[in-house]
Amino acid sequence: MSKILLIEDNEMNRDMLSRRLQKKGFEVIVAADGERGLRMAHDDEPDLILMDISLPGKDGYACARALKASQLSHIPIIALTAHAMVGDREKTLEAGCDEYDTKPVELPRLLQKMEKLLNGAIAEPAASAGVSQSE
Amino acid sequence: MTAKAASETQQEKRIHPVVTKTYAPRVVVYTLVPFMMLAVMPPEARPITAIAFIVNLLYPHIAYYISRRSTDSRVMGFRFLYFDGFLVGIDMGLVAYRLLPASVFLLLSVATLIVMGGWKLFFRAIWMLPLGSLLGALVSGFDPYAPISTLATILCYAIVTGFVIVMAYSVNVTTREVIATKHELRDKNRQVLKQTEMLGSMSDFTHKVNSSPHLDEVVDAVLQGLQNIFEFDLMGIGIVDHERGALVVDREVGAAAIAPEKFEDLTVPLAEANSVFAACIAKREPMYVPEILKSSVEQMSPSDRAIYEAAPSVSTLVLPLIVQDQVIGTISFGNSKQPFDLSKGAIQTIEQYVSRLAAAIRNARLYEEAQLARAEAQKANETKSQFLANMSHELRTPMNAVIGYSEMLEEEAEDEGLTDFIPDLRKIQVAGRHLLELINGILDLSKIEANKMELFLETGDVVRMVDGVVSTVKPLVANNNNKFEVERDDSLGKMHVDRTKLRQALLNLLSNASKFTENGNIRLAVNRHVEDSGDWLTFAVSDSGIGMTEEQMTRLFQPFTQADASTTRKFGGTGLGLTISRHFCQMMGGDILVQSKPGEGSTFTIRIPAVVHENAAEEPGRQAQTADTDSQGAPTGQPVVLVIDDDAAIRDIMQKMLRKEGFDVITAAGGEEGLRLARERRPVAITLDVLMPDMDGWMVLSKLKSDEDLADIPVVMQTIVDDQKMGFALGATEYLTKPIDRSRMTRILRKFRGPDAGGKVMIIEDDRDVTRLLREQLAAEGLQVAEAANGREALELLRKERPAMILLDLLMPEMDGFELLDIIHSQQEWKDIPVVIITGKELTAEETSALNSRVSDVVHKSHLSESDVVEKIKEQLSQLTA
Repeated sequence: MSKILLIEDNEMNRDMLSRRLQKKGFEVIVAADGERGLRMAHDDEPDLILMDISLPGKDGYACARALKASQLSHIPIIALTAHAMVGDREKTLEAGCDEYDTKPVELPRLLQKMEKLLNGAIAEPAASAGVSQSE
Repeated sequence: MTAKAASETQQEKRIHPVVTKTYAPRVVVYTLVPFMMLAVMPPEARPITAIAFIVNLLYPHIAYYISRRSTDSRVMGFRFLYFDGFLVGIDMGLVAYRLLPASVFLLLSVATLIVMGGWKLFFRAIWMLPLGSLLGALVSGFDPYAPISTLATILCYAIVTGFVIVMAYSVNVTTREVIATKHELRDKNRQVLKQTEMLGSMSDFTHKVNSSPHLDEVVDAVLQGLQNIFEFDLMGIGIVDHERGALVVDREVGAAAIAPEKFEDLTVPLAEANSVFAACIAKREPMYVPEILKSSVEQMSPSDRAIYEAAPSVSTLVLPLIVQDQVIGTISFGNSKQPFDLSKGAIQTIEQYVSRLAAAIRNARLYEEAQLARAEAQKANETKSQFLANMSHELRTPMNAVIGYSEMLEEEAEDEGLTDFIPDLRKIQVAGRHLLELINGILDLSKIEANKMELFLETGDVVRMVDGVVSTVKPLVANNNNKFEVERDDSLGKMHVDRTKLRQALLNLLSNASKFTENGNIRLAVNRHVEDSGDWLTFAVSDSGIGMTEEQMTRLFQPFTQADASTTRKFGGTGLGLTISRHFCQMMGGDILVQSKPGEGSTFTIRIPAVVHENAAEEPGRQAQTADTDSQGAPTGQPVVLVIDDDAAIRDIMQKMLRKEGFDVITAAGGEEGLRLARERRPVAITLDVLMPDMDGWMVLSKLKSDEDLADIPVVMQTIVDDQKMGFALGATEYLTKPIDRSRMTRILRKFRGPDAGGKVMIIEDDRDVTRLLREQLAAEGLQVAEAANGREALELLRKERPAMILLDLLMPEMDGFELLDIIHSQQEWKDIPVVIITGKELTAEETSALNSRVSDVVHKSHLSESDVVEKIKEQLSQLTA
């Protein structure tokens, strides 16, 4: 069973996503901000990190950079941002995230990406990230 | 020349110089001569000597007195010169031609004649001398060698000396006068030259001034222009602020304006007594203070004194700035070091010059205000966009929860077999996603508006992208039982674009097509073609759906509008997708073009460069060449309307719309091009956008209005910028905000078309004066007139040409108005022509009611000269064409 660390400040999103992932069979640990998230990553060594980008205090970019600079650099990170904008995606990948998805989460799509990373597949560029924005 | 001297010349003009100039020498000579005679003449000739003594002594005074009194002093003056010769001749004879006195007399005569009248007088009058001398010799005989006493000799010398001195002095005075006159003439000449030069360079300044919308440049050009000619080192501009009832010092420039901060908040109340500035505005004329003395500063009005103390000047000239008969402010000139001397003519010239500049100064000021207002508006807009961005973020977070929990509940309901809940939970999700789309759309739009939307360009394969989109959209197309055809070459190659944005736009077009089409075909055709204008990719999405009218197409790209409000209800969607997609394409230097007919489906074509450059959207006239190829087409002889707008879609719509209205339409994608076309084609009207990349609409408007040739062309603003006040202040005729209100726009532009062919006004009237008055008034409004003197003539004319309107007199010979009206109303083709009765008759109640049903208006002749009669006629005509 894969252990997922979800770093998300919004309580409802945190609750919702953790419950849905648990239902899908993941072990989910949660952190409400970047500092705590980093600490938990070190203490619990999750298999994958799902991380909101706009976090209070240390934001997602900073966390990703810190993680990738540490001995935890092997843990894949999927960045979750509010609205798919070109610059955001680039910035998350630059900061060291392995994948990127937009909120609201489309669970099947997210699961697909998670599976890929957990199975050690090489991350494809998140080409289909913006598709759902159209009418 | 001083005023005093001038008044003297004025008086002396009546007395000829021959009188005044001879008086002094005569007095000297004729006072000394009798004493010399006394000394020369023998004692036995005492009675004769006494007579000669008295005559000589009194003669100059009598001569002067008589000459002055005579009606023609010149003639009398010259007569006395003749008499001088005679009198001196007598004296010469009386001294018996004694050599020395005789020589003196000869000298006096000859010199006087030549000095006073030149050779002409000399030859005419010299014979009086021998004549007189013979008369004198009759008494004294001829004895030239008779000795004379020493006293007589001395007196002879004295006479010669005195005469010469007086004469010489007189010559000297004359010479000086001549020189002074010469100087005066030269000065006048110079002044004339200066003004000619000024007038010459005036058109030059005026041009410079008019071509600049910036007040600083205008002001500098004015001062520089005038500085070349006048000694001004200070120039001030004040603007009347009616709300404050004061003149507000706007700026002070020039070498002497060293402390501009001192002029801040300086005002002159318009009612202030003794103020040069207030007086200038009240009297609407220049106020010139040639010299401001230190002592007079005390007596200045408080405001004038404040202005003086901010920049003291020793001379000042204040002129009113008058635009359209309104004093909008003052312009003042000064010199801080030496007083300047301005002739009346010079002031007039400056006044004339300033009058030409007043409009330019006002325009420049308005432009400056507009710029400020624009900057503020832009800032406000950015704030708004920021607010929207923040707000949509805040809105999105709870939406995530709504969508997420409803999905979760749906999954759980499925797991637990609570199938009843599933449809409702799906509805929550659908509504949630719709709301989210709206929020995202708003965020996109606000980013676009705030210029925060960035392009992320990357190179990719065209076919791969297309195939990806096709596979995404396939289920959607199938929803409405539509067939999907894709036409694409395998050799479309690579493109360098923002793929996400292009994909979003293409998906948007395809999903719209599927939405609005049922049981039909949807076709995507992808092509690449190399043209002069570049390497283009086109993605054409055609459907066999409901299609659109032109009216609907005009609204298509407006945010929040779909072709029809009912479509929103039927088909859903936010109405933002197309707007955003189009913005995306435009950012990449392309566009989305539409072709559609109601009931026959629509084709939306994305056209973008295969290789997009950064800042593609800023390239001027980016797709004007392709979209407008026929827009500058051959003139059709119809009145021309010029459409200036950077938005190709607006140009396209306006063109179609106005062509239908019978206008010839020319379009310009920017201000420069618009101004050039306006000059070349002289349109009957111009529609003008405000926000354009190269030159904004305010600037175009003020340039149009400051160009004498173009100022009369009515300009209709059509813009998203809601600033009517500014538009009207700069001279716009009408102000419409976007989106285009088709009916208002056509109604407005119809006014400028002039009457239609056959749109004449027929005047049926036997009184020629009334006909002439009406004809002049109508012609002044640009209306064509046909005239008939009675009913019969009118019928002949009517058969030849149907007028747009009839003005009918009731009482006429041959066939009167009532009769004619009956005939007109009995004819099918004429009975719709509106008839206005022009009558001198007081109508009875019966007549009035008989007319009322058949005529559109009754005007009494006594009201004819009032302009509202023509207004009424015009109104009727415009209702007719509307």
